[in-house]
Amino acid sequence: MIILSLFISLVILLVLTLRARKQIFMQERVLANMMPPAEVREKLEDKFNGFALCLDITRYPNTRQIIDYICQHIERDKVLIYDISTFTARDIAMFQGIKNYYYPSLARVKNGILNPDMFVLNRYDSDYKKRIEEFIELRKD
Amino acid sequence: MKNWLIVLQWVAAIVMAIVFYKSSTQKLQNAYGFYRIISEDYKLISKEKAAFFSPLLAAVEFIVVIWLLTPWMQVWGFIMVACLQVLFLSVLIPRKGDVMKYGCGCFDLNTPREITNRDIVRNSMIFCAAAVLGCMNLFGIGY
Repeated sequence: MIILSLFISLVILLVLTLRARKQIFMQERVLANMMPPAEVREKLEDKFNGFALCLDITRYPNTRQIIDYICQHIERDKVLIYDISTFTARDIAMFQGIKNYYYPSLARVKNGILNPDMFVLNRYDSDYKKRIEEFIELRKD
Repeated sequence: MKNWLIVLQWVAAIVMAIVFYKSSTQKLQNAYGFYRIISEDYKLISKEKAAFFSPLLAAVEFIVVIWLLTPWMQVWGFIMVACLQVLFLSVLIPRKGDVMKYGCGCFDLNTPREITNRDIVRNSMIFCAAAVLGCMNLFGIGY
């Protein structure tokens, strides 16, 4: 009985470990594809027009799925996608006029300035996808 | 005496199973958050090693839950709990007072949190209970 229990435990251990490892590598890959703070700063200084998608995939891992969804509604080059965990307090200061930066969030950027009226990406809201679409439609050029 | 001890042992096993279930599922659901706690906040091991050991640790915690609730594996469950608590305490004690960006890695993995005496006392209590019950079962004391 003990041998069988140990064998089952080992199988469960392997499955859980491999699944979690896969999740780690997926998150790392998503993070590697996001814009570094220097690039975001450069875009804002170049009077970027579009949207800013600010994520925090370490704290909210499920929000990485929102990238594809948002890119279905906005052209990829019109969205600045970055992860707040790569930003220092000094980097956050580049967002002029923003006192409290809520994240994960989607915000309109006009001439390199973020609109403080941002959409907080709340995964627990059943209606959130529809509301994201409305947010984008209302603020598109 | 025997019945009283058995009841106490099961109550302790269920409480520990709940604690470890909550802890392990959080770590498995946000494996990346736990990996960053291990590699960046605690700076225990390199990122490459943390990518292997952090999911393994969370999975071991989950196995402990199953062992605690399986009568013929319960004694090993208590011993594993005690071993895990020794590991956690050896990591927590030197970092007492430090604020961890993603939490202490115990339960909430997304709130900055300071490691306090409370965390150390809580882990010590679990260690003591698991060690006592594990040894009593292993050596047949009181049964």
